[in-house]
Amino acid sequence: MLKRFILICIILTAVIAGLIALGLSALQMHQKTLSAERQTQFVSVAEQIRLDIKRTLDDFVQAEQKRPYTDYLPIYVPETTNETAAFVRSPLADTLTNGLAYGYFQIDSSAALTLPFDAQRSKSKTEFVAYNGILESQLLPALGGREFLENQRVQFDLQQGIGDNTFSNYVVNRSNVANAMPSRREQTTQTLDGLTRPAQEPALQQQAKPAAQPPQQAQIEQQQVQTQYPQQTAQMPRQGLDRSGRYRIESLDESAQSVQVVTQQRQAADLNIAQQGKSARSDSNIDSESKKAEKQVTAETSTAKDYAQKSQKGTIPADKSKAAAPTADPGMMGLGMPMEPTNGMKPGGMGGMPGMMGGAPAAAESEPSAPQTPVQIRIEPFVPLLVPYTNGTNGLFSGQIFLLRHIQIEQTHLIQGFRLNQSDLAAKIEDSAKRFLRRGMGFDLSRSERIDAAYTAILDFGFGEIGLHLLELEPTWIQTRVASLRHWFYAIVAVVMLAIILAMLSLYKSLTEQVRLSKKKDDFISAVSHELRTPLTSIRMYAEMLEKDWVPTEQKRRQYYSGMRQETERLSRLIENVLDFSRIQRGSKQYQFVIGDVNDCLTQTIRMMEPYAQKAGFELHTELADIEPFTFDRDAVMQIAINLIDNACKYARPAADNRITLRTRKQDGLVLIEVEDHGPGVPRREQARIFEAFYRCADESTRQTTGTGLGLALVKRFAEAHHGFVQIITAAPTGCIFRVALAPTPR
Amino acid sequence: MENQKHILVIEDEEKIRVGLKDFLEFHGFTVDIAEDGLTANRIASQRRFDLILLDLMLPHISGSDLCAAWRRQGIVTPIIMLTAKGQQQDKIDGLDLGADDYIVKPFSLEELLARIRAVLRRTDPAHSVGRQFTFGPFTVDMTNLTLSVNNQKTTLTPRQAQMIQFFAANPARIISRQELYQGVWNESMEGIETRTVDMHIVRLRELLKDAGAKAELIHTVRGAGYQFNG
Repeated sequence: MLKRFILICIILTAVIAGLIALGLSALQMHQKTLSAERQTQFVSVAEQIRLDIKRTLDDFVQAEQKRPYTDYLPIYVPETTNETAAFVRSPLADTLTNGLAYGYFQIDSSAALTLPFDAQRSKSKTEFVAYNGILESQLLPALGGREFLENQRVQFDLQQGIGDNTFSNYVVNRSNVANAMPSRREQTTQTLDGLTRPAQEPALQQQAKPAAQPPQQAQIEQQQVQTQYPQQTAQMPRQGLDRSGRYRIESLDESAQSVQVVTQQRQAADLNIAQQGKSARSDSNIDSESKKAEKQVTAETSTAKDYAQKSQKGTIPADKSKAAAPTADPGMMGLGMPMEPTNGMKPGGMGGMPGMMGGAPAAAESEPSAPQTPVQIRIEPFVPLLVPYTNGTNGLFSGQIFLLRHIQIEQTHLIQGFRLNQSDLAAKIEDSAKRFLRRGMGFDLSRSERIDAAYTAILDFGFGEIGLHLLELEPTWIQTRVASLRHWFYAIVAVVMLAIILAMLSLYKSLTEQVRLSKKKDDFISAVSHELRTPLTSIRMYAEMLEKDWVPTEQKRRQYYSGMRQETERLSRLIENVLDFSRIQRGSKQYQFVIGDVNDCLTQTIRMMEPYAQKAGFELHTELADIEPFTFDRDAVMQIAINLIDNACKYARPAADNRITLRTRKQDGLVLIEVEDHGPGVPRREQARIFEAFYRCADESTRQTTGTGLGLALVKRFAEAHHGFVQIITAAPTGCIFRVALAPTPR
Repeated sequence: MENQKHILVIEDEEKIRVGLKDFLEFHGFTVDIAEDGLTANRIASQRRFDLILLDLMLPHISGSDLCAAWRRQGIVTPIIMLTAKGQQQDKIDGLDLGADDYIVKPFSLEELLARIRAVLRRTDPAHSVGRQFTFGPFTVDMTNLTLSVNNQKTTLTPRQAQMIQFFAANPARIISRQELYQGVWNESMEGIETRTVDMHIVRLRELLKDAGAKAELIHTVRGAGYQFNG
């Protein structure tokens, strides 16, 4: 049974160990799943931000693309039905910051700058002047310089615009020269899943070798891209997910925009072209011109704006725009030249622009038919130009971003544009990030690498890149959560193990109890068997010797008869005890409570036990007090006395004092029966157990006394049947007193 | 022969002990009694008995422990276990411990007497080999105490005859000096030097050689005793 228990323990231990291993493995898998899900969330957030920024930029570029070219002039002539052209104030006048746009400007082919502000009245005059200086000192050189623009007379003709000789390519190439930026035409379309590295070709490499790249070039470039975020690249392949992804924002791709061609009445167009360079001046003449124009602007601004927009869209018939035919002073169109405001410019005034790219001949040729023919205005898409910072300024990008567009009005070429408001772009990206970030996520915008970023989305605008570093505000939250789960798991395992251990302990206790009971029963059976067989053996042996006449003397014969009688009594006592105990156990023991004299009963018992005690070497004494008759079971009381005297005869044997005293007295309403011997006494550790059924001191095979272990158990039960108790008292100087208390049953 | 046999009765129950003593003495045995394990061990170590009647449930030292201890000590006195334990396993355990027989209480005295005789027969060399037997090339006559081969007779002393009879009853078995002494001299070897046995063996070998033995019949097994290979 114990082996089976140990086997169950081993199996349970193995099962628990297996379950623990399984649970820990599941926790590890859970941690990996959480990490993968979180990484997916970062990718998703980055994509959402990309789409949001792209939408913002798309809307912005689209709006700016639709902006009439005349808005770039401080005052301009909208198409009107009157003959007299009226100047109106530009809606961008005095506007330095307009969302993502900062500082609108226009450059003509003579590299003259025109800014839509009133030098006298503008509240932002200082900023305008500073900005004008930046344009002069940084933008124009980046575009090739004043001399370049003047001398080369770069033309981006409608017909020549096909192929490489386009404004867009020119600007891009200038940008590449200035900043080694990759040409957008040289960039391949990238996937936006954030997992694939772009096969971008570095601009410098492309410039150096515009022809097909050798294979090793691509490898070098790949290495460059990888070394940009070396740690992420080195770490992430283990998880099968790249922590950094390139997110292309194609808002300024040429494919996303288209060349617009609008028509305008020649008179209005001529007058507007004639305004080139005037507005940039800071002399007081502009002020008076503006004041005059403003009077009309006040009344006509809204009408003029609508009209201008409609005319650009070509929705206004040509004959209705004839009226506006302001004359232009040919000598007033140069940058910085004194210029008087006029309402009487000649039609075809473009011919008077000396620095304009091929302006003079074109104006001369178009003059005869100009009043009647609408002018075609070609507006090309915006092209970004990155002008690197020279004074150590550190912005969102590595330089100022100018968005430039090429305007062609017949033979006149203009460059219009503005500077990208990087702080506003950063604010928009931050707003977008804040909207899409999930719980526990943070971000940082930086061109530099951040090692602690959980995911880096490289926002590639074409003209520059921004690293959108998505951060885990609490980088260890997955570990913390899994650790918490692990703690719960351990707690559950501990509880389960505790429960199992308790169950096993209980089972073990039950088993040992069963084993103990089984051993007690075996001992009892063995003892009963011994106790039955021993007197039977004696009786049979003596009977056989008597029968066969194997008796040497007559004295021996009498001894044999006496022995047979004693053994029969012994057998009788044993059987009586066993049967009584069996009846008590079954609950079928019937007590005969009758009134009687307990002393009389005990005296009779003493007489019966005296020969037995004497044979065992003891003297029986009685000390009987006067006890009035009470109700008790006579047989039970006799059995109590017999068992206690028998017990004393067996266990007090090595006593020097061989007296066994039977005593009765009354105390606290109880009748006490005491049997005192002067043997070695009962060891304290045995005292609690000797009244248990079947309990016997010492090992069954070596004990020095006979018996079944039922005698004292029966004494206790008989006492309890009389509402009494039994106790052991140590006697002086040695020995013990067995005291049985009986409660007289009231009549 | 029975009046020469000495039996030790070990029984804690006085009436049985007394009854057995009376019964065995009535049938001609010499009987010693012991009422507990300690006394029994002391008596058994003092002298040799032809048979021991051993109760299993004894005070101080159980009958099983006594039997096992005696067998470990090389005491080969036949033992009949007398016990109230009548289960088959109890009998098997008792016999495995070295008992020669096992009898369950209550028993018939006639049966006990028959079993005592049977055990004595089995363990008495005279019973096993008879009065005339062969010992190697020789014929031994225990009545006339002669050893003969090819009509050539040699006279033996009673001790030599008993030694030859003991070896003939235990052929090919290694016999310790103690066992030989107990079996032949009928005494416990307590306080006796092994030299006595060795001297007798030497003389017996010389006698056998003189009588015509061509090969050594009694071999010395170093550290163990002697062995007869006929």
